[in-house]
Amino acid sequence: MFYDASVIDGEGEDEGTQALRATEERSSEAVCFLVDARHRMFQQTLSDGASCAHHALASLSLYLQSRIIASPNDRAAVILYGTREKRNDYNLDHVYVLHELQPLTARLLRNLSPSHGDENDGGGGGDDGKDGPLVGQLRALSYPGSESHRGLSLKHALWQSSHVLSEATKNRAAKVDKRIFIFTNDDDPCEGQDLLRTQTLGRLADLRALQVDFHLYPLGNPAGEGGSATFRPSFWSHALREANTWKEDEGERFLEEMQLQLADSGVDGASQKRKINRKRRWAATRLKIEAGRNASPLEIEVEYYLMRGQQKVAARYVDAETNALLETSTAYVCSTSGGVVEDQPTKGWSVRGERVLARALEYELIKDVGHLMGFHLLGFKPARCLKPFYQIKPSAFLYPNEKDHPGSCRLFLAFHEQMRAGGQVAICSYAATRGTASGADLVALVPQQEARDSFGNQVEPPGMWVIFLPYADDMRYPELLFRTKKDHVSKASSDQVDKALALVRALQLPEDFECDQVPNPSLQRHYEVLQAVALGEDPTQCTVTDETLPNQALFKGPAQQAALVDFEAAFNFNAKKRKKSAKKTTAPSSKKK
Amino acid sequence: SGASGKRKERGARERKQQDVPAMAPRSESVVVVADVGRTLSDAAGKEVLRIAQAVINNKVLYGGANDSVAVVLFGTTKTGNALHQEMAEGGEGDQYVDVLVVHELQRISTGPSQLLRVLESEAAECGGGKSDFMDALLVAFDILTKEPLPARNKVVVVSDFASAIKEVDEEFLGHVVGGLVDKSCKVELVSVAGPSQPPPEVNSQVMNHLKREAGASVDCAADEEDYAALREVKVVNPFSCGKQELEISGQSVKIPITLYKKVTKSSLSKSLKATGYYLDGEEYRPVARQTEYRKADDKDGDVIQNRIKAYTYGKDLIPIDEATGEHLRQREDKSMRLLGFRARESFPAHSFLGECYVVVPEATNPGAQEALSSLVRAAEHEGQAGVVRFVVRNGNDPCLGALLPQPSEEPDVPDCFILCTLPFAEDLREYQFASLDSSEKWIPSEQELGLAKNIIESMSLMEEGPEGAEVERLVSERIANPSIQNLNAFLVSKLSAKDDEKGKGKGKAQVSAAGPNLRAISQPSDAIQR
Repeated sequence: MFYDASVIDGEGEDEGTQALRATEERSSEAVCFLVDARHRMFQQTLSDGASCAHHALASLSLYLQSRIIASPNDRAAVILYGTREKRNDYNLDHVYVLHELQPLTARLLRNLSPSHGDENDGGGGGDDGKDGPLVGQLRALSYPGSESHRGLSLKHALWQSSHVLSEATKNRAAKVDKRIFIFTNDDDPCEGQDLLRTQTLGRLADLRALQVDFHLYPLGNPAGEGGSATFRPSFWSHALREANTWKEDEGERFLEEMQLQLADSGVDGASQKRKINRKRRWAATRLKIEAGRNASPLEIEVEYYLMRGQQKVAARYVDAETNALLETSTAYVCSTSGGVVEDQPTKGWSVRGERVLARALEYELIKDVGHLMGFHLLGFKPARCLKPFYQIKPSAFLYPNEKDHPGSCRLFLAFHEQMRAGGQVAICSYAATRGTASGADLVALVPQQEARDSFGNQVEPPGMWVIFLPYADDMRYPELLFRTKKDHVSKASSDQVDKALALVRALQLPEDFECDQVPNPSLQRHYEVLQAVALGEDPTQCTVTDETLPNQALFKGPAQQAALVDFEAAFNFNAKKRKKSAKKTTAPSSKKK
Repeated sequence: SGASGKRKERGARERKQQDVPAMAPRSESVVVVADVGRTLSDAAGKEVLRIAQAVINNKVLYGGANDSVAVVLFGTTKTGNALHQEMAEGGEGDQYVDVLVVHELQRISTGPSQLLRVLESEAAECGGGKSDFMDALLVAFDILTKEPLPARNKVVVVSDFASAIKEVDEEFLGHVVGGLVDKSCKVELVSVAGPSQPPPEVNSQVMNHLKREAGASVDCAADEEDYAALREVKVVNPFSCGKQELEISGQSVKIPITLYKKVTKSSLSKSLKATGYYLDGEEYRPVARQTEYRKADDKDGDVIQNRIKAYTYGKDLIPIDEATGEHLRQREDKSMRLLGFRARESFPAHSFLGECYVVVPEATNPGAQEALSSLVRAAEHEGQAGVVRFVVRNGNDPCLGALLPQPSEEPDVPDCFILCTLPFAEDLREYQFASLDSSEKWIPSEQELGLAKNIIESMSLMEEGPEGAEVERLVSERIANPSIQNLNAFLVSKLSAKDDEKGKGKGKAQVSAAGPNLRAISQPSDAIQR
C-alpha cells in the first residue's frame, strides 16, 4: 500500500511541530502589483528586445509561481495604472483593476502568464516583437496621452491599493503581511509637479504606517545603453526613504541595487521553489542552573526555535471519479469481532507469551520520567567532546526571551560569552514543553557568535544551538562487526595515505559552492511537474537542474587527474570475490527471461 | 595445585568433546554468574545482584525466542552444581564447592517470570562462602558444553574479583582458554570494584590472560553512572543499508563500501511493540487501527475505495494520476558520489539534519579497506571532510552528506567515515535575530561575567583520572534512556507479580521513577554540586 499515515495525519511529528505547522499555514501575505501601463512601458524595449511591460508581467508571473508554493494562502491583486479607461470601485481615473485581490490559483497564474491569451487578440497589433500575447492585450488599454498624467495615475493607483490592502486584513484572525510591488520604467513620475510629488510621497508614508512593505521594480537597461534608459534615483529614492544613500547621477547603481534586492525577495528570476516558513518561536522555555547545593537556582528564560527540518510535500487523496477531497477517519476495530471500539484502547505488551496491560494512569507513569519542563544544566564540557555521530535529530536554536522576561539577555550573554571564551558547551537534560511522550533528552548547548557577511547581512544568528545527544539505546556499532566476526582488517600504509593526501588536496570544493544552499532536486522536480500539470503544460517536458551532481570540471584538471591516477594505482579493490559479483550480475537478467 | 590439576583434566576432556558448528546458530545460551562471597560489602553485593538481574531481565524482555539462560551464584554457603557432583562421585568432594546453580539452563520462555525474581530469595540466604570466579567460570562453561542444541555461548561474571583464586598453572589456563575459543564462548567479566581497589595480582593475571587469549571483555561497572541500567539496554544488531560503492570522479575510482545507520532514535513504542486492547466484559481483546476515506464535505457518506493522490497548488488541489506521479519522483538507484573535500570546521554539529550513518569498507576486501583507510587518515590529517551525494536505497531520493573521518587506533576496527546528512536550501529556516549586545543594558558586568565563569569551571564534567588522564563524565551514549528504563521496570514488576496473582490482573505495578539513571540526568550530580 502507498498510504503513509504518518504523512497525512501528521503522525511522527510531535505536537509542537504540528502547532508550528498550523500557524505557518494560517499566515499569509496580501500583495498588490501596480503595473505601470503607460504608453512608454510598451514602447521601450530592453536589451533582450522585449518591452518593459513584458518584463513586468514575466517577473510578476515568476514571482507568483514561486509564492504559490512558498505560501499557498497568499492573495494577490493586479492593478494597471496610466490607462485610458478606468475599472475600479472608487471611480479613480486611469486605474484599471486587472485582477481583484484573490487567492492564488492555477487559473490566476495561467491568466497572468505572458504567453497566455490568443495571439491574434492583441488589440495594439503590429510590433509585438518578443512580447507574449498577454502584453498585446494590455497594450490595447494604453494610449499616448498617458504621459501627461503620470503622477496622478500613480497617486490614484496607490489610493486604490491602500483600499484593497485594508480590506484584505478585515475578518482575518492570523496576521496578514501586506506588500506593494511597483513595476515602472518612469524614474520621475511627478516631474515638475511639486504638490503632486508631496502628495504621492505622503501617500506612500501613509501606506508605510499601515505596515505595508513597499518594493520598486525599476525597468531600464543596467548597462545604460542610451541616456534615456538609465533610471535616475531622484524620486524613488525618496519614496523608498533611502534618499541619503543615492545621488542624482547614480542611475545605474540604483537600478542594479534595486534589482538585486528584488532577486533576494524572489521577484526576479525566481526559479527555485520552496515553502517559506515565517519566523516563529516553537516554545518559550527556561534553562535552570543549580550551581551549588545552597545557592538558589538561576533561571534563564529562553525562546526555542526550529531552524532546520526536512521539507516534505504531503499528498492528499481525492475521489478518482469526482476529484472531491477525501478525509480520513481512523477507528480502532476489535480484531476478533470486527466491531468499532469507542474508548481509547489500553496499551499492552506481549512478553514471552505473557500479556502485560498498562492502565491509563500506569501508562502515564511510564511516560513520565519526572523531569520538569525545560532545560536542566548538568555541567560543562569542552566542545571537542562532541562526537560527530551526535546526530539524533535536527538541532534547535535558543535565544534569550528578553521580550517576556527583561534581564534574560544579560544573563544569557554572560554564559554565552564565557562558554565561547573557554570553548565549553553545556550538557543539559531537556523535556519539551509540549508532549510528554518524548520523555527527557540529553542535549548539548553550543554558543554561536553572530556573523555577518560583507554586506552586513546576518549569516549566523547569535544564540545557542541545541544538539540532541544519543542515549545508549540509540547507538549502533557496525564498525565493531569486524571484531565480532573476526574479519581481518587492513589499514593503509603511509605510502597509500600520501596518495590520498594528494587527492584530498587536489579535490577541494570551490569557494562558491555552499553545501546548504543547494536546492533539493527531488523537491524542485515535484514542484515543476506539479506546476506544469496545474497550468496545463506537458509534465514530461519539465527539466530541473540537479545541482547535487559532482562538478566534473573539478576532476578534469591535470593535478586532479594525476592525483586520481596515482590513487587508483595504489589499491586493488576490484579484486572482489568473483563468485558473489557474478551472481549479482546474472540474477536480474535471468529474471527477465 | 591439586585442585588445579583436577581442573586441568576437565578442561582437556571438554576440549575433545567440542564440535564446531558450520554456521553461527541463531539462539544464544547465557550463563549469568553472580558473586555473593564474603569480600563484598553490603553495597557492592547489592550492586552485583542488580547488574546480574539486569542482564537476566534484558534477556527475558529482549532476547531471542529460543534463547536460554542459566544462573549461577558463587561464594555461597551451599554447593549445588553438576561438576562438583561428578567429582564427588569420583571421590573428590572438595572440588567446585560453594558454587550454586540457582537456575538450570533452559529456554527463557519456559518460565520468564521465575527468572525475573531468581536472585531475590536465594542470594540473600546463602551469601558469605569462599569459592572463586575461576571455579564459577568453569561450572558455567560445563553447563554450556552439556547443552546438546547448538547455540552461541556466553558467560557473564559479575564480581568484585577481590577473592584471590587458587593457584593455576599456565598449562591449565591454556586448556581453559582453548575450550572457550573452540566453543566460541564469549566471556564478559564485570567488576563492581572501583579503580582504587585493584584485584589481587593472581586474579588480574588470569583476567588479562582471558582478555588476551579468549577475547574476554573486562568492564568496570564502577566507571559508569549506572551500569545496571546499561545492561538492560536492548541490543540491536547494526542495520546495513546496503552495499554500494564510493565513486570518485565518475567512472574511474569505485571503493566498495557498506553503509550502516550509526544512530537511530529509540522510543517507547520502538523498543517493545505495544498493542491496543479493549475490555470486552471480562476479557481484554486486541484492537487494530483502521483508516477509511470519505468525502470531506460528506462525512457520513459512503467509503470511497477508488482514490488518487493530489497535491495542493495554492488554493487548488491538483490530482496526479499514476502516470504523472512517476514524473514527480526522482527514483534513483543507490549510489555514493564524491563531490570534493572541504575544511572540517565548515561542518559544525548543528549544521546537519540529524541523520547519521557510518561508511565501512567492504569486509573481506583488503583493497577497499586500505583505500577507505587512506582517505580517512588523509582527511583527518588535513582537517578535511568529504562532501558526497548519496542515495541510501534503490528508489530513494538523493541527499548531500558530509563524510567525517573516524580513524581507529585498534587493529581489529577499520578506519571509517561518519556520514551526516546535510540540509538542502529548502530545509533551512533562516531567521534573523537581534545582536545580543544591541542594548547597553543587555551587556553583563565584569562581575557577572566572573560569576558565569566560576559556575562553568565549578560544574566541569571533566575529571582527572588515574595517571593524569582526563575522564569525561556524563557521556550520553553510555546512559540508558530513562523512559525505556521505566517501561522495562514496569514490565518486570508486572510479570514477576503474575505468578502470585495469576488471572486476577491485580499485579501491583511499580514504576521506579527515581532510579539512579534518571537522577543522573535530572539534576547535576553530587560530585559537581559543591
